[in-house]
Amino acid sequence: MVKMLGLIFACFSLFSEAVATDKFPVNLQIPLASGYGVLPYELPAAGTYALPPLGVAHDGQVLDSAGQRISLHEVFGGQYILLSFIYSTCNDVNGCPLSSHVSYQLKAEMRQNALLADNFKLVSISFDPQRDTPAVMKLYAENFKYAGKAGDWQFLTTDSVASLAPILDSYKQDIQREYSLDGQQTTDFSHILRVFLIDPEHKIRNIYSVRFLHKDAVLNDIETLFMQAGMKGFAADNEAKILRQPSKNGFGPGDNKQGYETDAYVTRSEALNHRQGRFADLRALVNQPPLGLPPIPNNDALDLTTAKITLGRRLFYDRRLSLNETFSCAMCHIPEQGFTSNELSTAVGLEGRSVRRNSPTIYNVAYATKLFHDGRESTLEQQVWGPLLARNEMANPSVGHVINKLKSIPDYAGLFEAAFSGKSPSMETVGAALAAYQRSLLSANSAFDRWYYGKDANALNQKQKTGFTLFTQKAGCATCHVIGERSALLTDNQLHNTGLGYATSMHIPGEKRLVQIAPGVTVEVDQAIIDKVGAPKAADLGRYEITQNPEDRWKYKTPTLRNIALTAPYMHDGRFSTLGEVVRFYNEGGITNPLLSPHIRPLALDALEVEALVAFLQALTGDNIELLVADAFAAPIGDHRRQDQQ
Amino acid sequence: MMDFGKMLGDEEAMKRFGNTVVAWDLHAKKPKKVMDVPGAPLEIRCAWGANHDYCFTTTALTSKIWLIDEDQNGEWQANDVADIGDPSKIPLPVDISISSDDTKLWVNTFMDGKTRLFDISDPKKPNQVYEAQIGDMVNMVSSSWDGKRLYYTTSLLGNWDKKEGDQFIKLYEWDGDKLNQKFEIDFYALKLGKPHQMRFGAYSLYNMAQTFSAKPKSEIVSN
Repeated sequence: MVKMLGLIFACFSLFSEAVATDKFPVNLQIPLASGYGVLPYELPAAGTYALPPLGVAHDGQVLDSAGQRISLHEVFGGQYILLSFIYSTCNDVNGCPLSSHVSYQLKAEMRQNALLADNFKLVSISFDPQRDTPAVMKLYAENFKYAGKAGDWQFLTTDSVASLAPILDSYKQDIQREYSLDGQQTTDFSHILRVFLIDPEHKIRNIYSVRFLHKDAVLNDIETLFMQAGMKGFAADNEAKILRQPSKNGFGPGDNKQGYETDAYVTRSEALNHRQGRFADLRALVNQPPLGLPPIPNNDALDLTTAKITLGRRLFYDRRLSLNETFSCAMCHIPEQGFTSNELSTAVGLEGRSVRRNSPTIYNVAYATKLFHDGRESTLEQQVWGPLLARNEMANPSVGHVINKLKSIPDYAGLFEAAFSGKSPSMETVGAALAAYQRSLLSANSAFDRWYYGKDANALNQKQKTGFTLFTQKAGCATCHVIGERSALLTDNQLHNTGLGYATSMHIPGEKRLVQIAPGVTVEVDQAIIDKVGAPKAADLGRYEITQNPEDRWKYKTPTLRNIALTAPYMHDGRFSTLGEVVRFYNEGGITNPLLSPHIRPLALDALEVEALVAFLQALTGDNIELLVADAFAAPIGDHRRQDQQ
Repeated sequence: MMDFGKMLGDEEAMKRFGNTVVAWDLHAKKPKKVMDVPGAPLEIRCAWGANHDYCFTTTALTSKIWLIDEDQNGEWQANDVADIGDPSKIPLPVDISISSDDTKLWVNTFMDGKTRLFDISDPKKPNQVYEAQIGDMVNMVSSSWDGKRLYYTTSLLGNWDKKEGDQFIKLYEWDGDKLNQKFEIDFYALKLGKPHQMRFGAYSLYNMAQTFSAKPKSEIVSN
């Protein structure tokens, strides 16, 4: 071992007692990386963790140690790879010698591990093509022959710095040659050691640094990958394929903040573990809406095919449809948060830009005759261009920008033509596709539907039945949230003034504002401080902004109440966090103002009646939430780490 | 990040601040322990000493210093150990800097633009020994290894900075008693935008051998 290393690592010695001389005194001050010795901690058991892809292991043009031109991917040959960047004159004991040492140990391991020898390969590539010619790499390789003949360790270089550059770039290897004081090039490079573990699909699965590059850590990771792949000798590990377990509130946000207002609150976030979805047959849903919903308006004319719906779904979740490729429709219409956002009262667009209003849900949007809170748009096909082009939402600079991008992305090739009888991406087809997917998000057959339309007397409990009676009689909610004879949209598709918009417009902020800063901790903050760090709040006059009719000031659209339990916070500006607050608001008679809708009046409900109404509202949740959310989870998102990517 | 003022007025968003410190198993990429640290912990700085197994963080919203340390049973614990300024005024601590001998902790508070020096010789009982006004707002503080030079920046986040306020980098010298300003770079005046973070690098960190050497390679020896 010492002899072997002594040949190459001439300027440094590792073992003081063996090789110290006058010419090469030993530096006792550099701590050896743990890769040379024993790991000072225990590794997690192989297979108990995942190694999600960190990126793509790109191809490049290299020379093997016989001088033959070959590509990196050809060298990889469909195996698991440990790829190190080295140079032969490296004299940093914790640099290239370390990675070669670990590779050496792994090569030696292959003598007794046939699975490793057959499926795993070591690759060292030089980043000094000027000195490290194929002949030099062959010489370098010679020193590792003591590891035995099992398995394969390839020593590569390139024919020039220019050929090497794209490889360094794609593996994010930043290297700088060092210069002496008189400006001469030295043989040293300054770089940060990174060793890559790559799988047969050319995905990078781990990147080791000096801190933890160790034969045991690498073997542990390889074993984990082998187990995941179900390779012979290991039981197949399906951990990575588990559908995300639904959280207790049924596929809700991963972070349940119930009880945050008390200091007894304890964090209960759920990690997004191996989330993988399952496509549903949305077309079947469209052709046969669940109990409680009427047929989709214009269903025949729309001709919603699976191809259109699938394409629309792909677009809905594609983050590349925004100016900086970070925002998809689903960033504000989050599937597991009721296709809205439970975590924001009003939306936030690209680069943190402020949006005035709360994101409406997409559930059952097929039946909306007016879109947006102010009802300014009439069809879903047209509506999509609102958020796509809004500067404070997805911020695309033009229609053409989106269309041209779609035309250039390989994974959309042919999809529009196939779905729309030969038509390419256009304003019309993009709208039609997205609308097709959105129309398929039908959700009903709730406890209420089964009780009212399905005549199942036990589908609702007594409290909920009482709530229904209040809803349709004393509280009069059904005036605007309409329930029909054979189906219920729970909206009249009209716009009304409840006083909320008026209150916001006319409200003169107090000197202080209550802000909750931690569980159970609320402070009064000077409004002046808030003003210093905030842009002035945009005005919102509701429907008036569209019609210019003063009678329409502060009128907002009646939303559907289907799935209302899933779509907190409530109202056009998300000001109410709970259904209780909403019901109490209406119980007070909304907010008095000259344009208050005549339907809004104090209801004189007592606390129990309020509870009953809330219970009824909670019975309006459709029975297919998991189906639709799992379908959403399966959709590609424009993520380079996953297979669905270019 | 969204507009700061909009966020302070958004009840749901205000519940979504981070409120944990997590000790990770980096190999398994899984949490080893999740500690509740309510009030939005921002930066963590660990003590340098070989046997000083503790770290500090500060919570931006509740304005407290938290100590994260290992108890006798080897369990990591998080406890709040000091207030920073008057928490009810939301001074908003942002960046902190621990001295190389683990005795001092500089804490910057964004909203009031101050820097504060805490004596952390007893990590369980930090106490403030000095404060100075740096500007309308202040973000990061970077200290030289010997603790004599301190650099300050002003910008926290584009959408969160005070709409009216200076943007600069300042250098101060710490003489043991007070900070003395040495220079200021006015970013607005020089049209440089907003300074957020500073990085102090050294070439020699990347290579143990002499970086700039007059001697030929074969004679290089390490000291």
